[in-house]
Amino acid sequence: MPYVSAVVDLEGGGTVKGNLIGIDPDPAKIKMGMPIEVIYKKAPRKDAEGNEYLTYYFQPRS
Amino acid sequence: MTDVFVLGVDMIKFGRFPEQTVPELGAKAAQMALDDAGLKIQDMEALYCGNLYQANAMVGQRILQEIGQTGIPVVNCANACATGATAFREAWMSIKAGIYDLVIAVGVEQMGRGLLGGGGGGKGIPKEGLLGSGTMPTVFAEAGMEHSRKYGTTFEQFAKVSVKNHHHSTLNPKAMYQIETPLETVMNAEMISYPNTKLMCSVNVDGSAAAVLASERKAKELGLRRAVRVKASVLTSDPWTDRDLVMPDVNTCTRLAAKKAYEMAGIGPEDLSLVELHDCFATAEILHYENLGLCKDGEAGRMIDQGQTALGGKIPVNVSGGLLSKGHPLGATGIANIYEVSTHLRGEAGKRQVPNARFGLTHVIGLGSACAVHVLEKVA
Repeated sequence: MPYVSAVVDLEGGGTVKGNLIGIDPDPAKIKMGMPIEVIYKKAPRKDAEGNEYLTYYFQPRS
Repeated sequence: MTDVFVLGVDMIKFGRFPEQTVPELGAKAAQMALDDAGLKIQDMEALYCGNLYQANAMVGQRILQEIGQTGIPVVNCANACATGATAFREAWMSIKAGIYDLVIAVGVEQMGRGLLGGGGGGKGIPKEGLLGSGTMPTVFAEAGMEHSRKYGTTFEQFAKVSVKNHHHSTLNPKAMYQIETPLETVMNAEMISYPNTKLMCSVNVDGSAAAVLASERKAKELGLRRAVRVKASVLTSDPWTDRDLVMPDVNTCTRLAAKKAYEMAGIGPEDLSLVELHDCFATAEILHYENLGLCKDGEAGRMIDQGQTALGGKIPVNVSGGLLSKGHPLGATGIANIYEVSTHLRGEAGKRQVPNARFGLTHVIGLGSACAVHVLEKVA
């Protein structure tokens, strides 16, 4: 399944890598410098003990 | 300090050899390099072995078990994709320091298949694919996209690197693959990490290469007819840059090494006859044209469009077929490219010979990071 791996500069400093969701994984539709916001969701993976995790994602800023 | 010379160098034809062991592959290349120098293992005063995947398993010593346990010092080196070049450099340094006169460096790797990087394991849940991708195809795709953003480099321009290197390898009997791949074939191959398709990723193969190095005194005693002078040997790690820890910066690391290498050799990029650089992915090669000063920043796209880096062009790059087609057994690559450049400097490269080769540059970069650059000179 194609997904988008994105490197994002945060306002205020710092750079983070994460998945960019809410957009077609189509290189033509994804522009460098496009405004992004960070959201938090439950991760689709659990660990070996069955613990759940909260993780961040990027999505286009509405 | 003494000059250092390569007196013997060779590599096995890269391929897949699951029935051989890593020391057996390494021993083969070591024996070939010794034969090339007209010397024996008994003549070597030390062995530097480059191997990554069995770095804690005494590969150098196990190579001596194959070709002669002479009791010489063995150092096993690991530095990601710069492993082989690091072994070569350690050998060089030991002669420069005046400790030894004759040393052998061997690089060997058995790769298996699949993507590199993207680690996992430990507590918690794997981050790979959840917090972006840390795999090598992605790291170099990001670096390519950054170049694209700055200079408008296109998917097609990156793909042309594969067309060129695959074509070059049809002239290299030591390459793993020797297959022409037209542009449409490269661009329509399975997409691994945009813009790198499967044919734009270096091939995981098994391989080994070795070099016999000598002090000037010893080289003159044995004869300089096929000797190659090591004009520069440089190793750098990645200096801190803004996004380096998230998006590994292969540019700054390489530029630092290249600058030091040109200074050490007393030449500039315009003096080079050929270059064997680290085309782990097609995007990487484009970046390194600029990083190694083969062209000005922003000109790399034009360089590949105009065929300047093809055999017969202004500055032939990766006429061996490069990592893309010759193959990239991690520990061996850093000595295999020394073999390639040396072969041209000796006038022995046959169909792919770069005419009147005088100076050659080799470059490798391993993520984490380690960058090694060597400049070799024909002995007049």
